[in-house]
Amino acid sequence: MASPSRPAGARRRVLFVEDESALRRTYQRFFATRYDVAFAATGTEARHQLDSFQPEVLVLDLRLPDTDGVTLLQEIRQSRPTLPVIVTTSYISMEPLFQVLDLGHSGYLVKPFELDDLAARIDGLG
Amino acid sequence: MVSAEGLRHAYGAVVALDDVSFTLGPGHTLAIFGPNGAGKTTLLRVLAGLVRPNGGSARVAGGRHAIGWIDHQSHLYGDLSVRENLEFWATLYGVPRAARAPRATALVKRLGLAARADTPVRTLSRGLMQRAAIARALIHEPPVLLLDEPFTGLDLAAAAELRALLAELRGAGRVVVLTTHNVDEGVELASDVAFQHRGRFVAFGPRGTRSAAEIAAAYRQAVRTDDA
Repeated sequence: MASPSRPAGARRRVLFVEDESALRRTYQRFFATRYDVAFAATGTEARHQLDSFQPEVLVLDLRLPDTDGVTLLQEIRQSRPTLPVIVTTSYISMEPLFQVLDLGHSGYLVKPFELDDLAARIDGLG
Repeated sequence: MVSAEGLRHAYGAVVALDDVSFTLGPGHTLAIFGPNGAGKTTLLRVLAGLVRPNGGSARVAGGRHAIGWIDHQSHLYGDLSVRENLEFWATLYGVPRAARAPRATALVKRLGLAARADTPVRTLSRGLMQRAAIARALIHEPPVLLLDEPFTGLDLAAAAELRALLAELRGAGRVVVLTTHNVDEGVELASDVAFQHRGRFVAFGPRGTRSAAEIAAAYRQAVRTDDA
């Protein structure tokens, strides 16, 4: 996954799209010290944050209350073809998994995962 | 025809099966990919009725006599010939007397063992032994085949022959469940694919038209291991 250029020393902007409030709080506690973070709980909020926060990395839950994550990712790819996206998901059927990879610049993590694994993925984006 | 519902099993603190569920109908071949220790063998042993799970249930239509089983052991007697072994297992499985010898002859031909059919199994190479084990698993014409790392020990030619045989069996409506830690092995055969990791099916579904390379890429994301 490629990463947009970023000024030296600047903290990476990461948008977490996650409908579970407990997980959003965990992300906040764990990641706020190392990244500039923003959160969205729905697809609608995610679209708004994409425009206002301009993330360099998107962490996207595949199951959202108002939008299917794959559909949202397809939408995002229209306007941001190279934005790195890490999809987080519980057990999934095979086809959405392939669709995520087909969309390019995307990977996924299957829940439950270690927060360090997610950090490693984000940090590994260069 | 083969189903699992909420299977759970642990060996002490080590979780081997964690809420595994799936259903396979006739003609389906499920390839289960996972690293060593993912619980693949435990799953096959539960399906075969060899291990009673801590939770959940598994069902194979027709019960244990409907299953052909291949694992890391040949289950053949070294002092008996290939043909004698096959006829012995045919007897155990209740194959009618008149059908035993013809079936054994057909299988040794199909598996390229005809020239060694009457020599003691202990004199066979590892590859030929594996072929004989496959013949043993098929002698009762089971509608369900459970194959644990079936390509292990086979040379390239024998592996290709096994793939052709499994494709033939799938075409005949058999259900095949096979495990492998190598995504390149057996993937062409699969109608369905599962990724097993730490006892869980982290992904499961029809393979569709996806290539081995696409499946390998998806597997690396799901399992995050270097041995994909």
